[in-house]
Amino acid sequence: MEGGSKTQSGMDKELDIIIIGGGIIGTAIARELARYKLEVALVEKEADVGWGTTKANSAIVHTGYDPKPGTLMAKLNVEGARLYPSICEELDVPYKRIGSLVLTPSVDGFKTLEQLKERGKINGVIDLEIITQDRLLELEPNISKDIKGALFIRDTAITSPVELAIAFRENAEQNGVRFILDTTVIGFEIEDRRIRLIKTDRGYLRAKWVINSAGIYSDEIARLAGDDSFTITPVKGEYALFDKEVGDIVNHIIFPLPTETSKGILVLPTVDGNLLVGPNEHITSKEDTNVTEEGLKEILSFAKKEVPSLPLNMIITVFAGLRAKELRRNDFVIESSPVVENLINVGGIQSPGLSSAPSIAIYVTEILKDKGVKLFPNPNFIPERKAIRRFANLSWEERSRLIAEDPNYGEIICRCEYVTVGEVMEAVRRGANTLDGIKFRTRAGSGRCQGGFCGPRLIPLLSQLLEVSPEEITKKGKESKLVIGETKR
Amino acid sequence: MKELRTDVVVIGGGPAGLASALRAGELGANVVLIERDFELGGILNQCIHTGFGLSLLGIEMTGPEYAETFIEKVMSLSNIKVLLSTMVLDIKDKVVYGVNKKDGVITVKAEAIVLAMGCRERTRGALGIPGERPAGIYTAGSAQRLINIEGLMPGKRIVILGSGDIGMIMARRLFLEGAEVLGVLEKLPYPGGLTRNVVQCLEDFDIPLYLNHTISEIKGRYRVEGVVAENLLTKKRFSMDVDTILLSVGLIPENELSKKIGVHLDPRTGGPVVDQYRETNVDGVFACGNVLQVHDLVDEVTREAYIAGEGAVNYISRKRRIERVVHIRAGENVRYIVPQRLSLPIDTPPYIYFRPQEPFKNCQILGRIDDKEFLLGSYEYARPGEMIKLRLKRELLDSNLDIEVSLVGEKE
Amino acid sequence: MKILTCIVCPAGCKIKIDEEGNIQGARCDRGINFVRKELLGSERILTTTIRIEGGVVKVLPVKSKGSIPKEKLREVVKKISSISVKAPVRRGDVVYDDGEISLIATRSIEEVKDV
Repeated sequence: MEGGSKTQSGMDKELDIIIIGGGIIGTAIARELARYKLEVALVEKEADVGWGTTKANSAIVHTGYDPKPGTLMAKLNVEGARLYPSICEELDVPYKRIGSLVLTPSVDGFKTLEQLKERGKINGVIDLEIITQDRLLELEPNISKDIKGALFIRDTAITSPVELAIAFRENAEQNGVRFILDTTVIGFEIEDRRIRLIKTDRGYLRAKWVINSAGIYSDEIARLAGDDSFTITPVKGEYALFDKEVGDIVNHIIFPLPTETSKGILVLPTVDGNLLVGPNEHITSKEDTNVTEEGLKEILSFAKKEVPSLPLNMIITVFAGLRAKELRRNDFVIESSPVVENLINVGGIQSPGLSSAPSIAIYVTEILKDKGVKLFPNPNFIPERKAIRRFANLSWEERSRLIAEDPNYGEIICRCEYVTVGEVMEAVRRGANTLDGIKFRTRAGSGRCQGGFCGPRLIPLLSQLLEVSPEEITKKGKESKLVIGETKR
Repeated sequence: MKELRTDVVVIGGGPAGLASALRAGELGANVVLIERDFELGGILNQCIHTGFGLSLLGIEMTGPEYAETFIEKVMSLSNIKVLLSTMVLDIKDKVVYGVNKKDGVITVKAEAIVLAMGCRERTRGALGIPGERPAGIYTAGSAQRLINIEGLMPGKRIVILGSGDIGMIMARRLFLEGAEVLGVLEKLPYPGGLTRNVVQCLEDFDIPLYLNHTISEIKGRYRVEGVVAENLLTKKRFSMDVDTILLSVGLIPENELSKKIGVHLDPRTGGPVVDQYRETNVDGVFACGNVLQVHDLVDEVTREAYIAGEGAVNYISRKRRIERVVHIRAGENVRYIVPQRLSLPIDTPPYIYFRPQEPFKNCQILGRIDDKEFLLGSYEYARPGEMIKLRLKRELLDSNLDIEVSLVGEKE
Repeated sequence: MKILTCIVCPAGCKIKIDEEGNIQGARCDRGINFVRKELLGSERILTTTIRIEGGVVKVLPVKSKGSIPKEKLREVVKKISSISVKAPVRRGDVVYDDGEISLIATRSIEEVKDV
């Protein structure tokens, strides 16, 4: 970049496209654009991708039966959900089609289920079945006997959003997209209704086109360009994650009857075999991902009504995420800015944002094409990306062979999730430079002891691999240092 | 894959594993001792303070000294094979599966298994403390490892949640290393660990102990910036300007492996249900040390491990004669009892270990079968943080009847 | 009258000393000796770590030979914070002695062998 205290070589020239924001949307767009002969870079303010809303949501790929017909949400959800299986296969990311159930505690509720089924038909989702209590209890023996029936959606799936964002990133990078991390956009220089310069806290960038996929902050980014055509209201959702021991207490994603504004508090398995409860819904500020006592009580008491045997003493962690809602439009805001010609806003991506990510990326590409961007296919584009081989999931023979190839796979550093030093080293090779970066790529630290065992061992290991002193190792970038120095000065 | 066969396999090379391997080895068995760290000693290696060995060896030692004493004995026996840097991942049909860098996958087939995996610490997530998830939150044991093994200092201004022994010992350790320790918050009305630690770790250095307090909120997005402490009785809150939080809120016996082979756990202890030989419900599988019950003193861990090691050898040589089994139940005011079962007949009445539910003074421990009650012991003080050990009476062992152990006394 | 908690062993006896100097409540002689010493001035054994070069671990746990006045503990730790010893070390070795305090290694540390 030009100027600034840190200069990156090759960043001085004008790029074709800069994507602001490296969540699931930004990374999906980056990977999509990598298919074409374009100079693309993505700027992200955190130390890694996927650390905003992407890392704190329900991880569901909805089928698209429930958004209001005619909206962008409905169209892109249905299209995105259809693309998911092949994308997750190409990128080696978990995808489990476990199905979902919308429960009704009353006989009246069946009317609502019928309405949902009808809406689904309009949107193009037809595998929806209304079932009665007997069938429900067959599918879900632990559901409360107060529930009268449910809408069964067979094709709803769960995935791993941060892993997918990481996979999009790795594949995009492999295909030539540059990722500029730990860098915040602080302003634009506009001339003749076009962005000429992008100002960041580490210097300047120049690009012909700017895509604003900055999540919670996308309205602020637009405003930096004088565009106040949309406003983001952050709506917090709190979650509790349970030990794998209770991961099979339900087999499907359990939804309550939806309200006007929200899909409700859910009980669902995660792709890793844990159980997730949440989210509630409260308007808050953009910096508030605080889990509150009341919020926790709210989601747990709700869940216990649906699953009475839920053991509250098996919670291993709690967290909260912010939905980026555009409350006036009540739809995605994916359009060329009305104020600046070369800015494309991708904002208000609340649920079903995750489900729509692949189709949002294609939709944005089409907007660029309409605006005259030449999309010449990149003949060297490699669509496949392999995840880090997980020791824990291998057979004993495979483990034996892996250790023989590389003895570092014989040293287990995370005893709860059976993660080896070999995997940590591979994660570092792929760009992880923080404890959370290691966690999201290998699962080290996400088990029942929550990093108590591996934490003290990872700090010196990362210090060695990244060739920095231990006090420079952080949990999640910025000031999140783990130690202040050696005990003996 | 490397395949070993032996008489007794011991999983865990901390004080429990060392002592049970040693006893089994001394009795002539072939032993394989498996340890995941690069050296033996387990948690003792990071317990650089004194408090070890006074009862068993007559000298007060530090953790590393105690460990080395037993490591030397173990290494001197040629019939004990030690596997280091080896993590046990599974047990199936008395075959233990482990991995290490050198051998890759290694299996050990044994006649008897001794579980000595120790325990892990309860985490913040399990407590549901509201707030952000910044860096700077450590469990006391993790912080202890950071300081005493890696030589790294976790922070400058510390608050400790929980007055368990590890928390108090870390309060002192951090203070001596130059940190400011603003206080220890304990949610109960009494301290969680040994009284001697309240004195020599907190009172000695004027580190405040706030009983009936907890953390109601953690501030700081990337690194801890402070906490809000709350008095649970008055509901009054106050801020503490800290950059580090240590959690000393409980230890959980690490029984994931035990569950894999069908070992029944006692929900009161978190560890296996065992008889006086420390045998679990699975034939030939024994348990000792913190994996069985969280101990206060390593001396008792060693004694218990000797019993388990001997039990394993006697099991193999078919020396035991079991005609009937009775259960020992935790009665009024008793939190738990170990062992939970007795394999009878028995020559000498065995010791039982237990903890009171809350602090008591001027109390009696009673053992009862049917309607007959026997006094087992009298104590001036009985505290949950200080395990009690006493012998059962002969009269309780002569029948088929289950025994109930209870405590009567004045609440402190 | 003073009540002191003895810290010699985990029993933690509460020992009473009245104005005449009579000592009550100690379960053993060590307690009586502790209380006598304590009244003259609190002293404690120091346990800490010092840096070690070339060993299989980075820091060496040590204990003071004899006890040190409580108020001096923290400054002693600061004073020895810049010392370093070389591996190998045997348990029991006196690794530091400045006339005032001496430190004993509480474990053996082998030298790292270059393969």
